[in-house]
Order: sequence, then structure tokens, then C-alpha cells
Amino acid sequence: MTKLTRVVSLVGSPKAKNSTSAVLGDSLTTHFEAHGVDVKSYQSHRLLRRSAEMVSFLDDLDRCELFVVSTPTYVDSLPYVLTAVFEAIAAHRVESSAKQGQRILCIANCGFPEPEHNDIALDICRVFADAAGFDWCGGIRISAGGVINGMPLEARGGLTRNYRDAFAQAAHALIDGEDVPETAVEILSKPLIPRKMYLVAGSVGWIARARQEGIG
Amino acid sequence: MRAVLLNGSRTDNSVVDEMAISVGETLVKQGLNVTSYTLRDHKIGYCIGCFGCWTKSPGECVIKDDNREIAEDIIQGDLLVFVTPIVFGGYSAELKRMVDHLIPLISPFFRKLHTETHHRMRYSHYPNLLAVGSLPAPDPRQESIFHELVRRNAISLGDAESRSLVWYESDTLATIDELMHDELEVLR
Repeated sequence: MTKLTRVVSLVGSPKAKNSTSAVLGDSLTTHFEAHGVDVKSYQSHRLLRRSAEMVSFLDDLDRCELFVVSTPTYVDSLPYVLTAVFEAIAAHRVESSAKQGQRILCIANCGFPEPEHNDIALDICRVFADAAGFDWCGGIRISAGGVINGMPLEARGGLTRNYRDAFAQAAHALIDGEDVPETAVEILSKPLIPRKMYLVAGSVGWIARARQEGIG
Repeated sequence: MRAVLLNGSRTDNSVVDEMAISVGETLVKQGLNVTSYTLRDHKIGYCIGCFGCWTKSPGECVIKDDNREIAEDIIQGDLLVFVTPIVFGGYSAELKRMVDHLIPLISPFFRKLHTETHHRMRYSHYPNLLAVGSLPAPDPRQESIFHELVRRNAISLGDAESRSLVWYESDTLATIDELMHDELEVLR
């Protein structure tokens, strides 16, 4: 199998900072960079506002071997900003001279403690992949994303060790031209903390944030 | 009975505009008062995921543009109608931009529905949901995703009754009336 040399990473979150999706994408791409893989990173919301950046992105996308998409699930599917970028990519790819054999990996995360909430988002990504000429090499579902809350996984210490190991396993497989191992997908699909603990923490968190804003 | 119709057609998709007109006409024939929004003609910024609609101005997006008026109209209606080209099995970006702005209409707190966690509702009433999507030709995979998306959206937006239809652009617009007839009996 040909070793990986060029990756394009796209964050589907509309957040300018503290994006859990960006953290999850970085958890994979830092391993690529450590192995000398060239990684070009983009954010969907910036591409929609900066046409020159969109042109560079599409050009890099045509020349990469692996396209990594990391996105939140919004109202059961992809956020607007990523949907719009996907539409632009599909339109561009009709006439572009993209490389053959390009692969795509999609990571979807949600704020609920069940990974199934991401399923439709990943189904849409798979249809996009076929329409845009990418070979699917894995879909990762992350639940209880509020535990990560935009912070690097290392900052959570032992709590995220399994996730970090799973991303490392996934990255090495992708570098070797293989699909994301099912064992990594399985580990990443489990929430970091028990469901009941997450729900209580979530509710307390919303109340605290509202009080900070002078509400309630 | 009042319907709010969201037309998610893109600028290059006049077929979907015609579909939206046909859907609106069918709703009127069935006795509904219809307010239609061709979303691309409205100033709607995209949701930035700040959750200000839950913590800063509960029930209302912090972005002051047409999303607020449309969301208010939706929650006061009886039927919410999505009209959209089916894009990779989901909604068009135009429609999704407004669908993302429906988050203010629900609560940040959680509830359990069967084996899944969902958000609680903010209000005592939510409209039923009808989604009409178009495809150039039959595509079972995209249609399956579209139907499941609408079903789950209806759960997210108040456990509403929902129906979803797919119209093929190779058919005549007259078939839309037929497709909608039985579904509207359930949703009214």
C-alpha cells in the first residue's frame, strides 16, 4: 500500500474557537504530522466567507490522498456551514482533475450520550463521498461531546487515554493505507463518562451558564 | 389551521421553486392559511453554535436577523412544511441554515425517549412536520436517509407527527397534489 503523504482536514463546526470538532480532527492529524505527512487544515465557516481560501482548499483537496472531515451533528444532521461546503465540493468535482483513489474519513460528534444520534450525519457524508468521488475509509461517532467541550484531549488526562490511543491506532492504519480499524471505532463510540453522570453535569452546566448571563 | 412553508431551493433550482408553489397551492386547497418563506431571499446568518439561545436570550437566537421572525412564525403555526432538493440524502444548505435556527425552540435540558436522550420542549405546542424533497430520479439510499432525518427532526421538535414525501423531477407537478393528499389527512 502507498504510504500517506498529503491530507486535507476540514472542520465542519461554525465555531471560531473552542470547537470540539477541531479538537477531534487534530487528535488524528497530529499523528499524521508526526510521521511527516503534509496536513492542510481548513474551517468550513471561513471557506464560505473567503473565496480565495475556498479556491486553495479545493485545489489542495484535488491533490490529497486523504480527506478528514470532523463535524458536530446539528439537528440530527450536518451543520449548514459543512452542508454548503459539501455542495461546493460536489459541484467542483464534476469537472476537476482530482487524483484517483482518494479516501475520506468522517468524524461526527454530538452532545447526547448515545452515538446513534450521529448516524444520519455520517450517512449523509457517505452519500457525499460517492457523489464527490472519494472512497470511504471510516466513520467515527463520538457522543457526550460536552465532556471534551473544545479542550485538547491531553488536557483531560487519564479520562481520555482510551480515545487518544484509539486515534493513534486509527492514524497508523490510515498512514499504511488501511481503513480505520473497527476496534478504534468501537472505543471512540463509547461516551467518556457514564450516561447519568453526563446528563446531571450537562443540566448543571446549562444552569450555571444561564446564571452567568443573568438568566434565572 | 396555519402552515409555515420553508422553501430551501437554491438560486439555480427553479424546479424546486415550482414544487414549492405547487405544495403551497395544495395546502391552500386543503383549507390551510399558508405563509411561505423562500429562504435564499431572506437575511439569515448561520448558527454559530454559541448556545446563546439557551443561556443568554432563551427561546431566541442572539443573531438579529430574519431567523427570529421565521422561528416565531413556526412555533405559532400548526404545520411546518420543508420544501427542498434532497442533497446527499439531507436538506439543501439553504434549508439547513434555517433548520439550525430551530434550536432556540427547544430546551437545553434532557429527557429520555425509549432508549435515547433528547432535549425537552420549551413550549406546550409544536407544529406537525411535512417535508417534501425532490430528486432527479428514484434513489432508494437518499430517500431512506431523508425519511429518517425528517422522522428524527419531528422527535427533536416536539414529538410532532411527521410525514415525508419524495417527488421525482421527471414527474409532473400535478403528482404533488396526489402525494400530499393522504399525508395531510394525518397531519391536520
